[in-house]
Amino acid sequence: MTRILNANLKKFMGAKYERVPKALLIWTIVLFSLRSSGFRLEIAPPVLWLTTVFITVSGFAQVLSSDDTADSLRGQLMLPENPFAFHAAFYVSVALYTLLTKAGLLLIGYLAVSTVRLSAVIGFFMCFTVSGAAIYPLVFRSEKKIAGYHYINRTRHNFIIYLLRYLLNNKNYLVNTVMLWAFGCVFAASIGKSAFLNFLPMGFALMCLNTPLGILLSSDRALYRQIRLLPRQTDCILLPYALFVTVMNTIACGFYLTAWRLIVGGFSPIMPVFAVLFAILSAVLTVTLEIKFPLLDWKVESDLWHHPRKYVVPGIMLLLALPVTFLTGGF
Amino acid sequence: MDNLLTISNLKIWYHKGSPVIRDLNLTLLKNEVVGLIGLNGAGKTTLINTLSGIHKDYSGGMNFADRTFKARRYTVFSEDSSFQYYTFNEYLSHVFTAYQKTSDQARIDELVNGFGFGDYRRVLIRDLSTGNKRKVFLITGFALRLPLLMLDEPVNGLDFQSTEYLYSLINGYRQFGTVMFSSHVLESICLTADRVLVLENGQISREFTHGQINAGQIRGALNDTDS
Repeated sequence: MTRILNANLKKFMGAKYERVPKALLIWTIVLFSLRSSGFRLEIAPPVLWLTTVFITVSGFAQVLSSDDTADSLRGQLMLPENPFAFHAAFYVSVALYTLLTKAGLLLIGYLAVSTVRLSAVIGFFMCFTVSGAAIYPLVFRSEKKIAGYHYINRTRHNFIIYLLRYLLNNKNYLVNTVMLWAFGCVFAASIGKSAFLNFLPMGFALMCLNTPLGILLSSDRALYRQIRLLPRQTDCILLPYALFVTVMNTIACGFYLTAWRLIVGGFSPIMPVFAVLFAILSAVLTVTLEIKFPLLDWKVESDLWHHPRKYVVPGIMLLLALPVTFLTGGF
Repeated sequence: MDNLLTISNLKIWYHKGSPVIRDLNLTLLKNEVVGLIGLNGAGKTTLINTLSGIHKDYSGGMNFADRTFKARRYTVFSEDSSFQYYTFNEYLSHVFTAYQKTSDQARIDELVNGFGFGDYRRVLIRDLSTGNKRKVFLITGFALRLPLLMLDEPVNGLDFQSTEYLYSLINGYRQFGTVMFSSHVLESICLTADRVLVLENGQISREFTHGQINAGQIRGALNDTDS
């Protein structure tokens, strides 16, 4: 079992487990930053536990449903291993990876900002272990998804249609996009009703945080290689990609503005113009980051979803939102 | 024959200080077929990736990402899972637009039939088998008829008939341009190449031409490399 655990941990954590000290460093920085900021937020234990279940289930599902994981499992499952020992070891390796890269940060956040209760921490580990064990047999698969032949009569290329197919065929990408739109509606309601100042432009920046659309080239290394191989890919791929992200960001901002209008009330007619400008600018930044600074050295696709680079574009947009908020009378 | 490409003192590395290819000198003539052989890890794929403008850590040679050079060459990689949500027809349209070329439908039909690919033209590349995926890129490469076509392990994954057809295509390509391909299959080298380059210790250690190209000679050279 230790042998199988080591083999898989090296895949998730790096050949020399180099990811472990990196993750622990991030935990330490987050803990001390939050502590020293003086920010306090009482988190009820059930909220912590429910969030833990959500993060654990989505983390396990992301790792276990990726084709990349299925590829790495083929060679291992061919060996005459004891099935119980294999699955126990593989479960532990996925659990440690999920704890280190995702769920652990939640616990650190709780320890940093809330009043710590031992029962809440014990509950966190129980929720993590049980929800991981419950989702594991449901999403574990050792073969890539084979859906049969899809025939398409189009003969002309169109990269926007390519991206639409990409999105529709990756359910977690689609779910993430829909969740962002839903978040836009909730954010509009909560900020618009509770804030005493008009923070409306801030939401435009947050609506640009569509992780899967921002890692399209990084997650498909073969596609990135073809872009470098073929001539004139700015016209054929990068511009349609930017246009696609612009449209998706505009839709997200549209949901946000509609929710604001319905729940909070009216806003200046200039706001939809700002929304489109934010959508365009964030799309250009996203595509520039992807082509100039792609993240190609990922070990499991899940790494990409949690890489801090995804906060660069919303961060820049947030900085731009400040003067816009000021100019439109927010401060 | 005129030179198509001349490279001098090419050095390629993944980690600075330990180059995979060092001081490599290579001349490709127009309208020839060059086979590239070497043991696993000799640097064949790295060399092809560099000439294709993919691998960026190199010095010497020329700027392989240069637009003019890019427009004159195409590479079929040993493994390629790109453009999974395009069909073959859409990928072909994408590539011909990129190279600003007009496709010759009769030629494409001939290639599709030759590779036995007719039933798969409208299927998403994602859904194709390994061999059929390989055919998507091979057909595209041979349809483009660019001055330089690079193939990395082109026979891998192909069925017997397609392999035979590929040999005939490589041999017929001399009238359009140059083919440089890497292979571990001696038959593919012996049946097609005008020159064979042996890659060893990051350099071209030996070269065989026309009459010298036979399985015995090449096997001997590779055994020398191994020892």
